[in-house]
Amino acid sequence: MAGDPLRLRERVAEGLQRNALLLDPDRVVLRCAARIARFAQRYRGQPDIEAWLRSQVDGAAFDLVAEDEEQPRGAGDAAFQGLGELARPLGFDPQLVHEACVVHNRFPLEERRVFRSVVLEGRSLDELAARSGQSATDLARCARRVFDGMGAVFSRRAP
Amino acid sequence: MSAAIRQECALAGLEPLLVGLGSERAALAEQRSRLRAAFALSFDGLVVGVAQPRLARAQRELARLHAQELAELFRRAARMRISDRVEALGAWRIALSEALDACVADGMCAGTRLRELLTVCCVREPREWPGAVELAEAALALDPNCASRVLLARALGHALRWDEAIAVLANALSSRVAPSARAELVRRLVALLERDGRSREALELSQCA
Repeated sequence: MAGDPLRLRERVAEGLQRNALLLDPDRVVLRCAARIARFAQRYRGQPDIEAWLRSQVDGAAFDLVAEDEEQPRGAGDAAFQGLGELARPLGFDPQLVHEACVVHNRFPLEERRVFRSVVLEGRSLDELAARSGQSATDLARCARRVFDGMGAVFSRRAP
Repeated sequence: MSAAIRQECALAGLEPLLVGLGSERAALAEQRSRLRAAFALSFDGLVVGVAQPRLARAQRELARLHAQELAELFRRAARMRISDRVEALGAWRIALSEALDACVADGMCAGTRLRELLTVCCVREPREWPGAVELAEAALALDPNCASRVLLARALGHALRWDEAIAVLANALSSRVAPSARAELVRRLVALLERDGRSREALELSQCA
C-alpha cells in the first residue's frame, strides 16, 4: 500500500464523478485495492489495463453501494470514517449523512448527474440545459427530487 | 426491535405484521451471531506501525472480498443440494480451490467450522455434503445480504422447516433492505405463508406491501 503506483485515488475520484456516486472515496480506494490484489492474477491483458482498472473502480464503488443498501451500520463503522470528518465540523450526524448518501445513490444515473452538476458543482441550470438539451425546469425538478429524497432522511430522524 | 428498524418497518407499513411473524427474531439474531463467529475469516498477521488503522481497514476490505467469494460458492453449492442436480461441479471445485489458494496467499485464517465445511465440499461427492440449510447458513454468515437470506429461506422451506423459513424472511424484511429487494422478499414470504396454510396473514402482508 506504499504510495499510489496505480493512481487509484485519481481513478476513484474520476469513477465517482463519472457514476455520480456519493461514497467515502477512501473506502472505495481500499476496496478497489483489495479487488486488484485479488483479481490481478486472472487478468490476461484483455481488456487494456486502463479499461480493466476502470472496471475495478466501478466494481468497488457499486459493491459498496449494494452493501450500504443492505447492511445496517453502527456508530464507529468504517463507512462513516471519511464522512465523519466532513459531517462533524458542519454539525451533522455522520450516520445521517451516510443514510442521505445511500438514498442519493439509489436515484438513476441521469438524476444523480443533474444533482451533482447543479447542487454540488454549482453549475447554472441554463448552462446545463444548453449542454443537455433538456429544459431548465425539468432539470430543476430532477435535482429537487434527489435533494428532497436526501433531506427526508434528516427530517425522518428528527426528534 | 431498535427504533431505527421500527421506523423502517413503519415506513414500509409492515411493522404490525412482522412483529407477529418474527417472534423468533431474538433467537435467530443470536444464532446468526454465533454462526458469524464460527465462519469468520480473519488475518493472522500482526499489524503495527503508523499506518496501522489504514492497513487494518485495507485488510478488512480484502477479508470481505474473500468472504463474499466463498459465500457465492456456498450459495451455488446450496442451490445444487436443493435442486439435487449437480451442475458444473468441476468448474465449481476449480473456483473453490482458487479461492482457497488466494485466502492462504493473503494470510487469511478460517474458523474451525468453515475449514471443516470447505474440506468436506472439496473432497467429497455432493451427495455427501452437508445439507442445503447448513451451506446456506455458511453463505449468510460470510455475506449477510438479501441473496443469502432468500436462499436460506428456500433451503429451510425445502427441508419443510416452514416456521424458520418464514422467520428468516420476516427478519430480513424488518431489517434494512434495499427497496428493489423488498418486493422480492415480500413475494417469497407471501408464498411461504400460503404454503404453511397461513393464507390470511399472506393476504394481509401482500395487501400491506
